Amino acid sequence: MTANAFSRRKLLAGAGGAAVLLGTGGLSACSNGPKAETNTAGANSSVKLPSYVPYTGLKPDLPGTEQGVDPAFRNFPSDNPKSVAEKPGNGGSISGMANIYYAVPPGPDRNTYWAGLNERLGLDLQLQMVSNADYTQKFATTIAGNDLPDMLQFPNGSPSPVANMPQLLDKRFTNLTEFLSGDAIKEYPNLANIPTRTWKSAIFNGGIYGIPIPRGAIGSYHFIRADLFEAAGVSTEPKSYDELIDAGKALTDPKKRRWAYGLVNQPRQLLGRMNGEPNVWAEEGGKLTHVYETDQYKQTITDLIALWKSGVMHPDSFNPAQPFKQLFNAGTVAINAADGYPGWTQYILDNTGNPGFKLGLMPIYTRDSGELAQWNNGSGVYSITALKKQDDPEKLKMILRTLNWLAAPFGTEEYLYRLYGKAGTDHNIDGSGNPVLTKTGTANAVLPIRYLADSPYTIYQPGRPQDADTQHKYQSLEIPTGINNPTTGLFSNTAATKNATADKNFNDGVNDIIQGRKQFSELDSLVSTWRNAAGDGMRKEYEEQLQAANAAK
Amino acid sequence: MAQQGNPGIAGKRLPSGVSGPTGAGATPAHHATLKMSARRLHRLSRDKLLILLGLPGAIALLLFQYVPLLGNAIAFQDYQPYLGFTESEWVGFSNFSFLWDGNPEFRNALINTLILTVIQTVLVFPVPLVLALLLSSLAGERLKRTLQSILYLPHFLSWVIVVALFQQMLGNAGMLNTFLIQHDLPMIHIIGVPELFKALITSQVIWKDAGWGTIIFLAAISRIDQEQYEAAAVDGATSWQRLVNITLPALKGLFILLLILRLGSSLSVGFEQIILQQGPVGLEASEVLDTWVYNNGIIGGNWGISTAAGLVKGVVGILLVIGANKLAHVFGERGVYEK
Repeated sequence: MTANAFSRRKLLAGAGGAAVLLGTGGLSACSNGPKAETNTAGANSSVKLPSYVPYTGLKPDLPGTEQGVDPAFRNFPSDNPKSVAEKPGNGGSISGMANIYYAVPPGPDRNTYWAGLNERLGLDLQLQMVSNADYTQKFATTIAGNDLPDMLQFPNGSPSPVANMPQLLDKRFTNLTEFLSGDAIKEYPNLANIPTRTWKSAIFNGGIYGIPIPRGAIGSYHFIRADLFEAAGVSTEPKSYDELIDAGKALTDPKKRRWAYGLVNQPRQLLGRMNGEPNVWAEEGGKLTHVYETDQYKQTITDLIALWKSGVMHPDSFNPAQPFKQLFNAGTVAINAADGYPGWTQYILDNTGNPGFKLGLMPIYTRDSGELAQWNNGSGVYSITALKKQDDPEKLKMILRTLNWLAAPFGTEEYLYRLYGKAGTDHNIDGSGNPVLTKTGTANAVLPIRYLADSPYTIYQPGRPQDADTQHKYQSLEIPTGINNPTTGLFSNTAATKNATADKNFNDGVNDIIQGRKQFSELDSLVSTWRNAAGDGMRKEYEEQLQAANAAK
Repeated sequence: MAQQGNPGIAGKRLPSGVSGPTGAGATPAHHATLKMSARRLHRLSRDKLLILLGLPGAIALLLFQYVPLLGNAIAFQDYQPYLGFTESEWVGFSNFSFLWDGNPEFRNALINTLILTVIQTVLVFPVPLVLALLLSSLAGERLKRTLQSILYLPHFLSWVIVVALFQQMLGNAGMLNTFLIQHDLPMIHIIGVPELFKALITSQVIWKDAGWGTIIFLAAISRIDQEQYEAAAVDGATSWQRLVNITLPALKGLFILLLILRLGSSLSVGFEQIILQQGPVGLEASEVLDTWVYNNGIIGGNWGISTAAGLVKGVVGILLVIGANKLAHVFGERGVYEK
């Protein structure tokens, strides 16, 4: 035993020594010197963005607008034109990795949908599908493992929460400028159908480094349970602070396990809009002010203190793991005010067996003027897909042709297949011409190819033509009041590496204030702590880019 | 009297215990080197079957425990996954700067960790021993078995389940509070209250693992020579005296051994359990070293700092084990390994 312990210790010392040796040896030998800064605002603003050539093959029932209202279809078009003339592939194989929100479907040998997709693409599409919850970690290990797929979805966000993203893109991924900039993109018409504003999120190091997955400008919806509003006898459109508060009280009955609001962030968003907060950052003359630093934010927190005290918020409102979607489906909470707008489809699907369920959308007004409050637009991007460096430019073009196929617009033959698979197997057509997924289709057709390339969002709810009108009307009402986050499309390394924790610390403190565990007066010191930890760093990085971009104009 | 008796009891148990006397392997210092290597060769050929048997385990240990240790080199690099070991910049000790630059989040995490370490070492660690003593004092064999099974069960639940169970029972929207609300009684806030977080964590640990921890003590208790109890009873010792003078001294060596081993990992106070429950209480009350590493290192992509923190933790753990072992030797105990 003695001898054993001794040798074990010796071995440990040996390993430690080796590490130290490695460390010191490296110190003298390999210093990379100052890193060349390639991701400059000047270089980025000089990039010629891809030309925007909207798809005109199909006419929506309700047209979209340039400001960002999504086009809407009441029913699925009966005519499904082809948008890609030739098979993109040459029989080779392409690999990709993307996140998935469903159970992972079976492989191409046991999945007729996947086999059919390969057939249509003319290649062998190899996919790594990673559950959404694990995606960031899997992404990091994939990068570290040096075994990159041809097409790699960056983690959700604009920009992606990836440290040193510009350097990473420069080192490992393809600069696509020569293929996509300006009119060059017309070679890939479905990619040219992606609106110009979304491409900004793919610009790094003075080049185009990815294909953006576009999303509507609206970003989120204020979902409400219209049936619960009606049952409580309150208007689904409270036009002032007082009316909002009264509605909350009428919707709440703890004994029946009913509250107006779920997570604290939901009333925070509503009140923030009501109070006229900026969309994360406010820009004036190249100077940025963060929402946390504004008086409007202080007003929101004051309102939230009162709201929490009045008991209209679910008791678990401060637990981020609260299953707010289930609570909303169950009618435990009536207002779900900060949820992504594609959630409409999921809530309708979740409640097919609930005849009383009525989904509504709530506009938001200012405190007492009776006018619509401003809307905070989303980033317009889900994520970007970057392409690994390739030796063969032909392979690169094949990948771009594949992505072009995958970005086929709503209603086209390719779109019908990529979302609904083959008629008779994966879906059946109902009386109004809408594809309805079969059991097989539901399991098989959920390949996350829509996170490698996608067409612009189109409002459509199978079998519920009235939903197209509801959503389109709401977007047409809110989008004209929309303001953008001025930092959308800009990259800040401080934001990617430090803000997550700094923001969490800040919000922990704010939550304590709302619950009365801390004094309201402590808000200022929370703000200054956050500024020191990340806020000022982000501001500096963003301002430099904004000023350079303005100078370049 | 009893004090003098203890080593005797322990000594009596030892030969049948884990290690045999080490005299056979001792080589006098003046032996010639040649003779020594001949002797080694002889031992090799004599033990080759045993060595072969041990080889797979040794290789696995080397591959999965020692080789990864080299990864600690990251602690001295500005490590970027896309550059790898070879191209990442070497930055000396700057990743360790959290140790001296007064980083408030690190300090907070360290303080929380130390408090939890003390609680878990002083309050939680002895619980299995007490439980084992209680169990062994039970008369009915069937009752004992049933109780043991019930106590072991929580150990097999993952932390996700345990946390969800606590949430469902004691949470703000859980069973207890739903009952209170429906009967017009004031709510009792347990989960999501920063002041109660450490108590909550500790009670979960006890609920989950105290039963499991009794196994090793029960095994040790069952090995105590029953004749000693009979002799003590004949001499008129009360059951309390028997506990204090026979059972506890017999368990002392084991208790110290486990305590030393526990100290080695004492700075790990439950990553999964805590990260699952950080949300509602906030970082100030709940951040510990492991979650700090995760929240700063993994989420923010600061791999170098995470590794540096892990290395510091490892070094502190080793120092604690060696120190505690030395201390055990001073008090005449065997500890983890002998001098």
